[in-house]
Amino acid sequence: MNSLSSVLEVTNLSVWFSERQVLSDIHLSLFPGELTVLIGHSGSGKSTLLQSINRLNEIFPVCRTQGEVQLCTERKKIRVYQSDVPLSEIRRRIGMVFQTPAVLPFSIFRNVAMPVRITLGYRGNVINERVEWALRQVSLWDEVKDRLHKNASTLSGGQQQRLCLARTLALEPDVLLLDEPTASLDFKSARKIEALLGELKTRYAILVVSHSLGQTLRVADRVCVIRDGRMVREMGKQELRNPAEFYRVIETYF
Amino acid sequence: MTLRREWWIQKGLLAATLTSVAAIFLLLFLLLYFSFPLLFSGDLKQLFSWRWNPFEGHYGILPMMLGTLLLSILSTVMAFPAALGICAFIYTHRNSCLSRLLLLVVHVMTSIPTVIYGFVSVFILVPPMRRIFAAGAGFCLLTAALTLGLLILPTIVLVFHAYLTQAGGSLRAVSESLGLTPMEQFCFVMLPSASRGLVSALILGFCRAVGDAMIPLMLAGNAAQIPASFLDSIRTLSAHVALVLATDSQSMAYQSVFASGLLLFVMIAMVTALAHHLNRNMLSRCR
Repeated sequence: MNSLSSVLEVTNLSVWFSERQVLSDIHLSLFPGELTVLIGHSGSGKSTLLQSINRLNEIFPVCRTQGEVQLCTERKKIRVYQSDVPLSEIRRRIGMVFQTPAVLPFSIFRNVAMPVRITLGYRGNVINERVEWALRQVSLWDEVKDRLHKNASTLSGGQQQRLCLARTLALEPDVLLLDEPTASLDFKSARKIEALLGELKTRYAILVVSHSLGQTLRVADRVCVIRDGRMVREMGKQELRNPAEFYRVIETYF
Repeated sequence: MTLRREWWIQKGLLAATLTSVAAIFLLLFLLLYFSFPLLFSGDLKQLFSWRWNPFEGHYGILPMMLGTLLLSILSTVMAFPAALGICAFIYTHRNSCLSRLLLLVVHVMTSIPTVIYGFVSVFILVPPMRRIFAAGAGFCLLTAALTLGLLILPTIVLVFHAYLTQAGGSLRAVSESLGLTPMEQFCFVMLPSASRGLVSALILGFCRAVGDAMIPLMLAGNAAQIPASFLDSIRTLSAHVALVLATDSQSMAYQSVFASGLLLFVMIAMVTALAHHLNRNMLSRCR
């Protein structure tokens, strides 16, 4: 067990789409300074789990969720599904990056600045500083500082994904959820993102969905295997140090 | 078998396209052909003047052109905020019964015949206009613009709504995940990224307003004059064509119908070209 207290606690979480149960009784804790990787077959419920943590699954009218997700910030505990904290704050605190780079059809600058201005209410120079800070966090600043006002779609796939990450970081999240963040990227860009995750995990609790076992071994501190909507196995650092053991477990549970 | 079917489909589509293009060119050709004698006789100057008084030999159609422009611009300006509001409501209350009902009502509005709008307005809108403003008979630019605005509203709403739905899916998930409320999403994400759609919707609405003959004919009063206020009567090109065709068949007034038709055609072509140009510019800026 981790000696630190968890940042995010998922208890007894079950999700239904219409009549079909997609997740059953999920328990999961995310700790600061730790990167947890979710693995499982396509359709096993990984992305649904991610989206039920920040309540993004609510955009599907047929989705029904039961159980509890608790976010423990420095000052308060937020019960994600029952709290009177506005949904927008919950979404901001639990940042999310999608599988395909989802840049908004605006300039590079505006992609980061607009959400900062609207959700955090910052104005003027503070925004510029925040944009620069966020782009530096993802090592994108030097690549784009001369073309901040060019459309974000002019960036390469890897750069776009880092921009999405910067946009999320700029909103001061406590937890980062990443849904196969390197799935649509080439080898080099993927490695860059992985290196970045290694740095970011010292400051954020991170939950990543991955389909790549190699990547999982490289970046994970903890691995959760999910099958048919159930958490079937959890592996800690000890087990991950031994790749042979890791692959044996995967063979068993996949 | 499939290849053969595909060949037929391709040829069928090509034939349909060519027919529509040919129809438009034929229309232009006929309009030019009929206006030819006018265009190359000394009467042209007479036609493009500000006075319409056929009994005294004045056949100017410029007041009608001004009327068409004023009415179309005014009705588009009136329909725009309403259309935007309806689209915002439908977007922000996506899964509610009320927004579905609203969308249904808008769909139904497109299928109501124009003459019904005019007819209802004559009885419901004209009397209060007459009472409230106490100027004239109530058949004026403002009355026609209000009704025409209502008529083109569904066109604008549906075209823009289609753009929003098309651009919507992924953008919505992203902006939700960034913590934007539905209204913030609409104002700061959807509206700027679907601005092309909004321009297209407005242009389509405007073109419909330019082309409509029934509403101005029934509600604008049809006085061929330069209006001094919104409460003055106007005559549009389309209403002019309808009026003259119904009463005349050979005089100079009759000739003016072809010039009016040509003018309408050119106006709509110009607006469409402008829209195309704007869209292309916006696209290149996006890239």
